[in-house]
Amino acid sequence: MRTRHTFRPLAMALTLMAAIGLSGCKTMDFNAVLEHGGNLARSFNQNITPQEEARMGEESAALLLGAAPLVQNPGLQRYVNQVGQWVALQTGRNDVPWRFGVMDTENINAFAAPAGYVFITKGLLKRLQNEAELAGVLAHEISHVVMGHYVQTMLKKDRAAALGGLANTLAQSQGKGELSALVNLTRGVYSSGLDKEDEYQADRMGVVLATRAGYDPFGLPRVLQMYAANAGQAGFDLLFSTHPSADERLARLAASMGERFDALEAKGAKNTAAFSRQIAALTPTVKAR
Amino acid sequence: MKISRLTLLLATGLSSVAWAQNATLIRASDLKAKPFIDAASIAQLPEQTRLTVVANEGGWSQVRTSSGATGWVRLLHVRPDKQGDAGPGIVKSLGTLGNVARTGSTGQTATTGAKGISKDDLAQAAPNFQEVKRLEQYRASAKEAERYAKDNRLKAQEMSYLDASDGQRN
Repeated sequence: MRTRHTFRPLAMALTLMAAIGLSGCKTMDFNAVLEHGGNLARSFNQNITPQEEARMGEESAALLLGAAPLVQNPGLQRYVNQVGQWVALQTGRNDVPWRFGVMDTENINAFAAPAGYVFITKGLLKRLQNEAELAGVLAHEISHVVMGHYVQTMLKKDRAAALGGLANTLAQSQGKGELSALVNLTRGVYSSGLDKEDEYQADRMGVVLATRAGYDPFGLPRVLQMYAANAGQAGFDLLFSTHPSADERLARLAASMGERFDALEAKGAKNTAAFSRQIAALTPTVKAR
Repeated sequence: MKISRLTLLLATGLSSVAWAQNATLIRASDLKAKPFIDAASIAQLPEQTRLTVVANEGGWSQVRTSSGATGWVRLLHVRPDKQGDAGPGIVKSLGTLGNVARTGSTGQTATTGAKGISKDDLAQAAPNFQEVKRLEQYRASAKEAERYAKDNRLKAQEMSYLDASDGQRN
C-alpha cells in the first residue's frame, strides 16, 4: 500500500533529525535540517499535484465553513493567524499557504485541511487559558497538514472522488448540479476522523512545534486534560467520536515526552494577558471573570 | 438562556468560580512545595491517590489531598475525573446549582441553536466558498509572524521530534 511505503523515508528522516537534535551539534544549520524534512514531507504527498491538494483543501474548508462560518471579528482572526503562522514556521514548510480561522460555533473542536487550512472553534478558544494552549492546538493541526494525514485518508477512502474534484466543482459552478463527489468524501472524512495513529503522531509533533516556537510545552497536554475531564459532555460529541480517548492520548504523550521538556517549561511563554485580551470579545455575557 | 449561560460558566471552569477538579494520581509522585523539579518534597503520594486539582501551571498541577495537604505534582501524572463520573468533576461551592445546570444541559441543548459542527451539521452543510475566500484577508506573512514573535518575546528554539512510545513511526 502506497501510504505505508512512502512513510518509511520520512520516518527515517525524522529519526535522523531527532538524532541530530539530541547531539546538540552547534555547527549544524538547524533550519537546513528542517527544510530537508520539509522536502521529504513534500515528496510524501507527491502522488498528487499541488493543484489537486489545493482543491481538496478548498473543498474541505468550504464544507467546514458551510457548517459553521468564521467569527465576525477581524482582530481575533488576525491574532490567531499570527500565532498560527509563527508556529507553522517551525515546520520549515514555508511553501504552504497557511490560513487559520476561528469558526463561529460553541462546539469544541479544531480541524485541519489539505494545503494549509487550520480551524479552531470559538467554543474551544473560550476554554483555553493562554496562548501556549492555543499554540499547542494549532500545532497539532499543523502537524496533520505537514504529514499529509487528510490527503492520505481521502485518497485511501476514494481516490477517484479525491482527485475528481476539479471537474466536479467546475460542473457545480456552471449550474446548480449535484454536489461533487469530493464534497461527499470530505463530509465522510470529517465525520469519521483520521486514523488513531495520525492523532497520536500529531500530538507528539504538536508539543515539539509549540516548544520550538518558544511556548510552554505543556499547552497541548493541558488542553488534553480538559478534554479528559469533559468526556461525554455536550459540545464535545464530534471531537470525541473522531479521536482516541483523551486518557490514551495523554498516556502516550507522557511516555514520549519523558522528562525532556521539564527544564523548558519555566522559560516557555504563555502570553496569558495578551491571550485574554484577544478572546475577551468572545465572552461578553460571562461577567464572572 | 439562563441555563445555557450557567452551563457555560460551569463547563469552562472560569477561575473566579473557585475552580477545582477531582482527579486520580496515576503514578506514585512526590508532593512538591513548589512547581519545580528540585523543590522540597512535602509527602510521597502512592499511585491511585485521590486528589482535588485546584490549579494547573505549566507542566504542574496544584493539588489537595484528602488529608488536607496541598502541593504540586506533575500534570501528566494526574488524570481528571470525567464530569459524568460518580463524583462531579467540578466541585466546591456550586452545590445543587451545578446539578440543575447539568440537567439542563443534557443532550444537545447547550450547543444547538445557531451553527454547530456535529455529524448532523456536516451532513446538512453546503460548501461555503465565500467564507474560504474571506480567510485569505486574515493571513499573516512569515515576516508578520516573526514580528509578532519578537514583540511578544517568543524565541524559537531547537527541539527534535519525538519517538512514539512504542517505538513506531516518527
